[in-house]
Amino acid sequence: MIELDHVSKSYGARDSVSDLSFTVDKGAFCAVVGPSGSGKSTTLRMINRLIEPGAGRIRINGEDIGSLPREALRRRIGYAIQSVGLFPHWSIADNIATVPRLLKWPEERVQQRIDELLSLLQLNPATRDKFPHQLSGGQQQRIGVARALAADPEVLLMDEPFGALDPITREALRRELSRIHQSTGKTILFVTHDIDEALQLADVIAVLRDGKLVQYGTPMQLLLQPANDFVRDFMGGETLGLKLLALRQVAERVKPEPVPGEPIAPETSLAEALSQMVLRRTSRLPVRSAGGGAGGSIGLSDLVA
Amino acid sequence: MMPRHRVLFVLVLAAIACCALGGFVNEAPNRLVSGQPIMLWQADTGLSVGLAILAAALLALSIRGPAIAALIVGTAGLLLLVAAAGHMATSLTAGAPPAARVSLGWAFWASGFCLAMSVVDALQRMRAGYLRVLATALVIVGAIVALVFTGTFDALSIAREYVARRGEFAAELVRHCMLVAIAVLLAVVIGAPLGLYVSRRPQRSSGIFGALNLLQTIPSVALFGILIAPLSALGVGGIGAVPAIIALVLYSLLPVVRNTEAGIVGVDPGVIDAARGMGLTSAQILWRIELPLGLPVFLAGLRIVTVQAIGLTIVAALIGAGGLGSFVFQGIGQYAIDLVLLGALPTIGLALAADFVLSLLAAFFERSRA
Amino acid sequence: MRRLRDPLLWLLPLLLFLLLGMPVLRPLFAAAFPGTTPPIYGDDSFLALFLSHAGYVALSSLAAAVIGIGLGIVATREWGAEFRPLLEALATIGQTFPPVAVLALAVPAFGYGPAPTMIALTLYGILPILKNALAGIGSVSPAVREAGEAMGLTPFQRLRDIELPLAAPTILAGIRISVIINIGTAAIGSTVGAVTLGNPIIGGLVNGKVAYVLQGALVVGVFAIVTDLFFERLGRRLRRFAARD
Repeated sequence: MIELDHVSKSYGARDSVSDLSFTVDKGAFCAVVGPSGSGKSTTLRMINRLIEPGAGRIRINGEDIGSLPREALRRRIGYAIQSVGLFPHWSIADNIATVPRLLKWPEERVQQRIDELLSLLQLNPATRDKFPHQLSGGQQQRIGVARALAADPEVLLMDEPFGALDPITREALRRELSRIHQSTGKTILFVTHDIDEALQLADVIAVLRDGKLVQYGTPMQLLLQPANDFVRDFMGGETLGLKLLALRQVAERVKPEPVPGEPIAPETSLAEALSQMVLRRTSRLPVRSAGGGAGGSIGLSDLVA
Repeated sequence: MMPRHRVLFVLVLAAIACCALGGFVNEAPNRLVSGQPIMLWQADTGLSVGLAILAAALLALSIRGPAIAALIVGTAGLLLLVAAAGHMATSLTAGAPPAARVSLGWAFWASGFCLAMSVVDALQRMRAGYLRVLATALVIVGAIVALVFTGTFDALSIAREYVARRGEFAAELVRHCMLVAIAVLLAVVIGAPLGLYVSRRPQRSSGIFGALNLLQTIPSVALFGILIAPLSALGVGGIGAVPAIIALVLYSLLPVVRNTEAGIVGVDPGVIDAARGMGLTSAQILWRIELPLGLPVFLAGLRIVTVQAIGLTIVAALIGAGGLGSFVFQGIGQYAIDLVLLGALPTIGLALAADFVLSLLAAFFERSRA
Repeated sequence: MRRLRDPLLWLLPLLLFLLLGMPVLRPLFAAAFPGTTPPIYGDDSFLALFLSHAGYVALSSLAAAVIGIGLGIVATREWGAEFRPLLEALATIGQTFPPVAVLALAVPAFGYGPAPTMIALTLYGILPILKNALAGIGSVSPAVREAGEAMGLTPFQRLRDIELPLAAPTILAGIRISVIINIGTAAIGSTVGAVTLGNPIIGGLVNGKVAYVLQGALVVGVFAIVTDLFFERLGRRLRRFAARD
């Protein structure tokens, strides 16, 4: 649904992005990763035409975005950045209402939408009358996401939105984003340099290096079949195996033999199970049954099966 | 072939347009009549060709070319322009009766301004530091001084006016500088301790700053006027230097107090904390840490105050304090433009020089603290 | 209670009194300056002088604001950014020139009368406004600009709804400086043929009538202070309206 077709962009002699081609399906969460200077942000900003592509075409739902009026295109795409960029002289409500008002929504619908979004992002309804400088970093970023979602766009572009936050807030917002993605089915393009974040959130990952696409695939594919040494190292190098563990769940490997002790949930990742084994100093952990009946267990050897 | 350096392009075109449309110099049979404009191309062929070449070169450099080249060509153009004015005056007055006056026309000022701005633009493009700006300024000033000594400008009406009033000019210039110096000195002597006091007692700051702000708002001519009355009642020469100095000091207080306070308050509290922890007394902290570290901000205030005082002293001439303002207002009264210029131009020069020197000083201290 | 201590509350009536009721003070001035006849400056009524003076300041400041803010907007657009360093340098260097000098230099160019005063006031008035417009619009954070662009606001909408409101307090501060300086320079404009509150002052200085000097000085002084206070109120109101971090 978002199609990049041989897209390139250069600044003077330097090629920021060269011959980039990939397609993101409707409703997918695509993480764009790579080292600094690999062209991730440039790629993102070509999709809402903050930067015009030097060569190639970008299509959304089959439409060439170059043929659409720029402002109309941008009002259909949500954009959230690390520094948020809330308008300091407007209340939170007015900030969120920006695009809906540009689209001339009836005011009643706008106000409804503001309330909806505040609750979707788990914010106190009283926040609507506050001003950006009165909120914490985490709250501001939530408002940034709310503002991006306000006009219910099909596509959401996010450029390292959680980069400036502390680890706890980051984790909370990641979970929330995942939840929002599941419930709204929007197509999300998410730039990050944090590979763990990408593995946690994405359905599909695009790895960029020096402006070129190195590999495009699901997290599993990238971990199990890295295209080259660069991808292998970027994915975790020697800790690749541990990352694989993080992607799989206990439910896939549970055996029916019961074992005494505090059971872990079947959705627990294999990585967390390993961690529990180390902490409890045992090589076999009890697993709670999904249905409620007799549980099973998982052993150390099952992790490497 | 779009010009890469549009600012320079616009400036050069503007300079050329001014010289094409307006009188470069004005020629008048005597001092009372306003003159006939004489165009630049009516000058000596050698000079006009020289200027045309430089203009074309500058235009070419605006399409494509390094900033340093633009700096050199621009400076050369500016100096040649100034020399051309002097030379035209000399040749025009050569055959004419002694009462004839040749003065500088608006095209001279406008194109000179554009060329000066192109030099500034070149320096900015080069990201020139203080050293290079100083060097450029010295070259230009030095060349003009050299031209003065070779008599290039002697035929211009303003030079003649100066020669006629040479002694008076020197006296008023000295007087002007004395007034400024005394006022600024007094303002520092009174204001710096006051600023220190305010930094130690912030509760008083709004009252003191309020009063000083009030003073700054009053138009200078009004303050001079208000001071005359009580002083004349007290028998202190109502008209003259004393009320002028008092007014100048009053106007200079706000920047001095404000910048002294800001300089001291702006010192990193961590530094003061460390000093106190090391066992320095309050006095030692003041002399060895707060004052030295606050110096750049204080010097910035000194710069503002000096430039402001140089300008205000012109108005002081209205109350008989003397100074370069006397030429300005005499000239206005007699409709003698050159007399006005004789007062206004040196004042502007003084202000620019003071501003430059003091900002150099402030930058020097800033760097040695970085 | 704070309302009653508001200086504007008693300065404004004072100004009006001085403008309309100066003749009431006749006995006071007659007693203080027995040699001056008539004791009150009579060539023009103070109200007429004030209106003329205010007219010069208002018109020149309006023109200066339009030009200064306009240039500031141009220099902060991508296509005009090249001109910004030079404009900043101009605004800074220009303010080193004494305003009186600019007024004096306007005479050879424009003769005597209202023209040199009006032109000098406008030209000099542009400088602080331009400087503050550049600073104010330039200080809008890049993140805010990018967000505005990405959300689909047109360039005009961005200027009107984001950049100018955020820059407004700084621009207003520049206009305030410009107006106060202009009030002072306009007074000196009397020397070149403009009819302003400087007339009694300059006339009094020339003729040795200190009473006139005082009267003129008082009126123009109160006028300047009232204007400054008015701008201060406006600035405070603006800051409250456009709540900023």
